[in-house]
Amino acid sequence: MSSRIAILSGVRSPFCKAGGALKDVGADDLGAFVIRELLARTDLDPDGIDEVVIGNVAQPVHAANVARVIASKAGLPAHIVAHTVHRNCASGMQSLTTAALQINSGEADLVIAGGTESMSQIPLLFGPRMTELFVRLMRARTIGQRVRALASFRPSFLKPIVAIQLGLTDPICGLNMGETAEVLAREFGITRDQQDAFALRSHQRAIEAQASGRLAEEIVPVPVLPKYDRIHSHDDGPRAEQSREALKKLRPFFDRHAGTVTAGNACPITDGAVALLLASEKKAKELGLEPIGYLTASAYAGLDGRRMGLGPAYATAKLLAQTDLELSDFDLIEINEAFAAQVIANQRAFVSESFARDELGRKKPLGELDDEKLNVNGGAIAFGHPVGATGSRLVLTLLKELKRRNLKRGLATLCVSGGQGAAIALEAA
Amino acid sequence: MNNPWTLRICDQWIAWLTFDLSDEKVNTLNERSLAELEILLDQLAEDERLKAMVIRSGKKDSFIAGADIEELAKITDDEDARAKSEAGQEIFAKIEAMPIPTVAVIHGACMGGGLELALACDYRLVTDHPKTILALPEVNLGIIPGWGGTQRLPRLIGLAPGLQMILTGRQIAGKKAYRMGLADGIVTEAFIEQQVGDFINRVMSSGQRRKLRKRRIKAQPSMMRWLAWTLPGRIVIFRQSLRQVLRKTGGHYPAPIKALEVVRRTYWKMSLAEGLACEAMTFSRLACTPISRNLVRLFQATQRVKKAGGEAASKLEINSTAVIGAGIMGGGIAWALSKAGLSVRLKDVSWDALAKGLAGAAGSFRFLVKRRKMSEGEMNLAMHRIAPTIDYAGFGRLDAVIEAVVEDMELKKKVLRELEENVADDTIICTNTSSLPLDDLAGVLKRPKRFIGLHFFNPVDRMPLVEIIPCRKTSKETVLAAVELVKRMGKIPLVVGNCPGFLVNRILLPYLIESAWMFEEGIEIERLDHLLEKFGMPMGPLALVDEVGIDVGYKAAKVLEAAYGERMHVPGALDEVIESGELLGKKNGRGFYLYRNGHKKPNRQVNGFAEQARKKDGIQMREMPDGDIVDRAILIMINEAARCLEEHIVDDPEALDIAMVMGTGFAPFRGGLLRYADDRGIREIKHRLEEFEKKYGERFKPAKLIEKIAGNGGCFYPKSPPRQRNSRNGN
Repeated sequence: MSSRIAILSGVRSPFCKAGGALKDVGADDLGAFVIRELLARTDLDPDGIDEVVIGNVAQPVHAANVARVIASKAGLPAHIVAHTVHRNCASGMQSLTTAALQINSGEADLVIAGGTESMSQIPLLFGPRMTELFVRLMRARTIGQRVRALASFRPSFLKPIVAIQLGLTDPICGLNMGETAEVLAREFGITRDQQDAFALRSHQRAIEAQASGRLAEEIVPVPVLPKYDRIHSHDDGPRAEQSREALKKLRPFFDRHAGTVTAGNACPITDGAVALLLASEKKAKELGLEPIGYLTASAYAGLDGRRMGLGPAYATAKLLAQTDLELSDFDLIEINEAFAAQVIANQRAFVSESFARDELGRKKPLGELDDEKLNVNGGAIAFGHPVGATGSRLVLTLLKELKRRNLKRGLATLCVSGGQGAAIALEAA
Repeated sequence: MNNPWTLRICDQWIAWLTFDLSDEKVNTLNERSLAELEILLDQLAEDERLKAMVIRSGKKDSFIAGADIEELAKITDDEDARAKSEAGQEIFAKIEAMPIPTVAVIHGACMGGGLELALACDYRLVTDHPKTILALPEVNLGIIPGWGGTQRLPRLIGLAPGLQMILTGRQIAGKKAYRMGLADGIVTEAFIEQQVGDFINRVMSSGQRRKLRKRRIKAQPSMMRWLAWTLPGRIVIFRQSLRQVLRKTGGHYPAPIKALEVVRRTYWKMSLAEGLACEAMTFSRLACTPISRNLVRLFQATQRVKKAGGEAASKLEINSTAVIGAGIMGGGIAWALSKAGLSVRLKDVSWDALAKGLAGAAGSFRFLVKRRKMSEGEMNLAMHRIAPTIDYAGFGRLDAVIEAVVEDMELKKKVLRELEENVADDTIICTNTSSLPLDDLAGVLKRPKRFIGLHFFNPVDRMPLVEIIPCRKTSKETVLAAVELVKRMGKIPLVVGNCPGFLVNRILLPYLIESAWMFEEGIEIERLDHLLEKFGMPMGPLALVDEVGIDVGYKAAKVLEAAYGERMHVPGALDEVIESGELLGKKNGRGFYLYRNGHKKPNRQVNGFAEQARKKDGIQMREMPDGDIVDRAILIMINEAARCLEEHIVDDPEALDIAMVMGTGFAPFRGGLLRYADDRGIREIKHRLEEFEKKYGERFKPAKLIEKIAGNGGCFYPKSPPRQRNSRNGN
């Protein structure tokens, strides 16, 4: 990356479990609420925005190019362009790095980037046989043709395709994301107990962050559609009453017999949106806005889809190779908690000499992921993982925490369904 | 003046008649334009080469707005009215009798006489533009359609749909007009000539003509069609319609009843010619009634007020706004701003309070969605424009802020002070209040120039009036900006002088206080309310107090008592009611009436309070004639209105009348409070006031202006209105 990109401000919606508080608030609505508030909090003339880039995975059918829909709903004038990016679970990071590229290329100076996801609203689909029936009905010209089309109906046609389930399955290796976590658990010998302990830690830290008011700083309360009679203001994932005993009681979800990954040590599916305001350093000065931090480098790496959870190790290795930094240079680190097993696998891979040598082509291991630096405010196991938005949330949370602790550098990294990893290096202002 | 009609005959021998009244924004049918049309029609009827005739408008997005309302206002007597009606009917009959197919191409508003002209054509084509609306709004002006509307419309679209349009003045969108058979096709503005040409080619074939006729009949709701074909069915339809009309008008408005009668007497019974004669006769009987006069004048006056501020105001850029306070008023104001397309930051102290405001706005939008006035998507966008906040984020770039926190002097001062710290120097700051002294509020601001008072009426989504009250230091630009803001919200702005109660409440409160006096004196509440409803008020005064909230009304009355002294003294009976603490009005289901399951019945308990008050005040229970009851309530308002004119709270009786009609629902058919006074005669008003002064107290002492006008035999309004046929009085 040629020069660092200023991050001027950022806000997010509360993250709420799918089917819950925000189930009737579309991905476009969530995104619009946060962008409108982002603009208000910076008191910025919206005319000056050059582009809106939004990461989104499920791509709501009612809002194609959801970024443009969001921009309009947020009140941005019609001449401001917007596009949507998709790199699965890293979409919320992709939007930031795309914005950074646009700024560095001189194409844009001031960009709103973020991510949004309503996993509640991912639809059920009709199967191909039902679809064909509809097509035949539509084409039928005579009553006879219509009757014949209808007569071909069988109740089994109504069996829906669960889009969210398909979306969380790697079509190449055929494994569901939870199954890829089981792969890592076995490879690295991560026990159920270790996973549950990590999950509990995530909840405890999240609850503590919530109680201290740290999270409220980054959250924009969101009106609850369709009646607008409530305004939801907090993440509903973190459980104060979470315990080892409770976690222990859960049955493995993906491998019912011999598995270790449960709903309790995996991240819940969730609704949420995040927006950040990015600018060239020059533009930031012109606007007279004090950045909250800088995006200094980013890297994406590819790997075998069955071990996609190791994406952070691969991407971080690439990031370090690109820059002169060591892992120890980072004061705080966010690894997205898709699964407890997956984060622990990374912890082990980061310190493993053989992994560094055989898989990353490095002489030395990446370095230790210090528990005191890692996910200090909890992670996706507590907050949930609205796939398109999480990448942006990691960056937002990390920058705010760096600032709070008066620390310098942060690393945000996550694993990506389909076998990729993403890593972003940040600097506090 | 040029001939408003231009004739162009295209190479396919289609005569295009374009109506474009020079120097006017919209087309209206006046005597001259009708005469010119007649000449052209006579000429075209002779021309055997012609294939078809098309009538269209040369105005942008407007067809014909109706008959010329100035001419309507000038009708002198029944004979004149009948002559006017018959003249129009004859010309439209000539359209109908044209030997070639005639087509009206309707793009934009097609109202009243405009629609009657279109109905006389063989075919009507509408454009798909949202401004294309069709209606017969005559009843709203106290008259009935007089150029064939009552005859041709039910014959064309069926009895029940026809009656609905005639009796309610309901507006029909272009596409809907096609669906109900009122129009025969939909065209689009961009390709109008070609598509009209195609249509004319269609009607050249008899098969296609039959198809078009069949579609018209099929477009009618089949059940209603069958009903209208049988005698008992028609009786049912007429009965239902009459019941609906009475429910809506309370029997104060004769026009819809007369219109119904014309249709009843003519539909299925008379030839078109006989029917038209009946229509003209009925029209002539209505056109010169005082009710029609008053409604026409009120309509004209409202049009004038709507233009207030003029060009200068409409050039102001107001896009971003904020409302402070998400209560009923704040939520309603935010709704109105968002509906006008403005972005609104809605601030309150808690998210729960904000949610209530948002839910209120959403409820009002939802209502519009249900009535198909807006789509689901438009509602979503409108709600996105209202952004809730608990701090001043985003206040730095606002064009205008409306503060609408509860009516508490200290709180408002605190909020305004805080607000000024957080907005730009040129942001207009408005405060919504009904009773607080504005100059005191202005005193806390560093830049009082940009501060102004607004008085919205509750409920905001339904009340059309907003009082605008400049303070001593308010700049002219600020007044202009406030006028524009109110206009943008689709409300009627009325700039009034600054005095306690401003204009509307200052006049309305004495009416409520006087009603409370009569209640204390032992007049039954139902009798009191019933008499004033009969006078034409939308609800009785005590029912209104319940609606507003007894506590709220009492507080407002006390403020005015403090300001105006003895003449607005609040009777002891109200003190008793308030002290009891349990009667709040409709909001807790108990007030002068008891409210249960949407029904109300008089609350006998309150009579005890009246009795206690009588004992304390040493007043005897007394009987009085109906006339006194109504006059006490109404004349005390007239007296206060006269004082408002004296003090230049408003300069113009017309503005005052509009304010009372729009702000309180004062009987529109009476033309307004002062118009009513003029009609009664100021001398009589003065005598009655003097009589009441002796009987009921000094508060009835006639205002100086009334003394003066009575002295020189004049009126509140500059010119004495022509003597009217029906004399009326208050009861």
